[in-house]
Amino acid sequence: MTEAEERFSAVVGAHADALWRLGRGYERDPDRRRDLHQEILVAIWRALPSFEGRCSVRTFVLRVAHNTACSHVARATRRRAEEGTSLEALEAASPDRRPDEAADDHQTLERLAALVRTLVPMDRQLLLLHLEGLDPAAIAEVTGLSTTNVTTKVSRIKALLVKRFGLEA
Amino acid sequence: MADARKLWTAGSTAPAEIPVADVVARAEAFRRKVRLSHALEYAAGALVVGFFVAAAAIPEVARLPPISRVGAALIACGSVFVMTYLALRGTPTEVRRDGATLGCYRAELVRRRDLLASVTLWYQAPFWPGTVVLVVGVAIDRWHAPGAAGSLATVVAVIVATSLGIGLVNRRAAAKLSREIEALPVEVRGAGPS
Repeated sequence: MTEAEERFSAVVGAHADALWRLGRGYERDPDRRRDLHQEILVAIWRALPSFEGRCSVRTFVLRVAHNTACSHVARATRRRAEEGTSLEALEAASPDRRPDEAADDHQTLERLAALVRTLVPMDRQLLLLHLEGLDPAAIAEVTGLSTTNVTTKVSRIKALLVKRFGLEA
Repeated sequence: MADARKLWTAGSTAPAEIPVADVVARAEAFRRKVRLSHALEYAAGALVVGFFVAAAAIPEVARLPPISRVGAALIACGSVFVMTYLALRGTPTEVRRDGATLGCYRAELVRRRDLLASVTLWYQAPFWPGTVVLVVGVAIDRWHAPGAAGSLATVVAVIVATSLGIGLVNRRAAAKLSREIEALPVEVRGAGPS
């Protein structure tokens, strides 16, 4: 293995699970999700030589991954002429969770992923990064939003998760 | 109450092995594909230029009247302009992907919006002078032929309708992208690709 391949392997290996999960928020179809995952790995391989350490490796990897996934979705939605939903529209339309709704984790996870995939790019990225455990400052670094803006959005995301899925966030 | 973050991260792990060799091979294939795509674009452009240059310079190629041969030469010049513009503009595959995500997203929307909004200027307008001169030349040369006026009117109508249609569709698409750009927070403007 060359030095570049070893570096790539180490960088991707450290964030492999997060990169794998990211696909769930962008692609419903498992085959296309695997294609997207491959596309993200190729994008990281191509971008890694220009990484100069101006941000953390995690920020770099997440930026490349989300930028690649966004382009992937944009290509698909241009073909299907779809538009995403904003967090605001979702809040307005979101019904309260009914007590009789299944509390099964797998079903909840599937519904949560389906909701993520309906969001516009900005809200989708914020929700995915929040779900991956990033704090507002880290989300701000990845996305380019101000920490204040991220904090406001994240609190609304949390309220939506409680209201819609009964999930603590 | 279940925790959303734990639910999201639990039980979903990546395959143990990272397919490094496969990724390297795909990256190389992608690079070759981009080069081939560029080569094909230039070859197609060269064919168009070659045809119109031949039509302008060799009377036997298209049997055009002298004025129309000037038009054919102008269309060849228009093709060279469009090819040069496309080459200088670059392609989305060359865009860096390690910038702040929403800045990159905005930059991509702006790039697409500007391209669509200006398509009349850089893709259609360069062909107009040559087309007009070519059509006028043929019209003068064959004015007294039976049905010439009707044929000329049809050709002009098709050219004008196609140009207006393409312009309108692109302007609408550009306006939609503008609305998306304006909906993004102001701070995203400075967070584009480095």
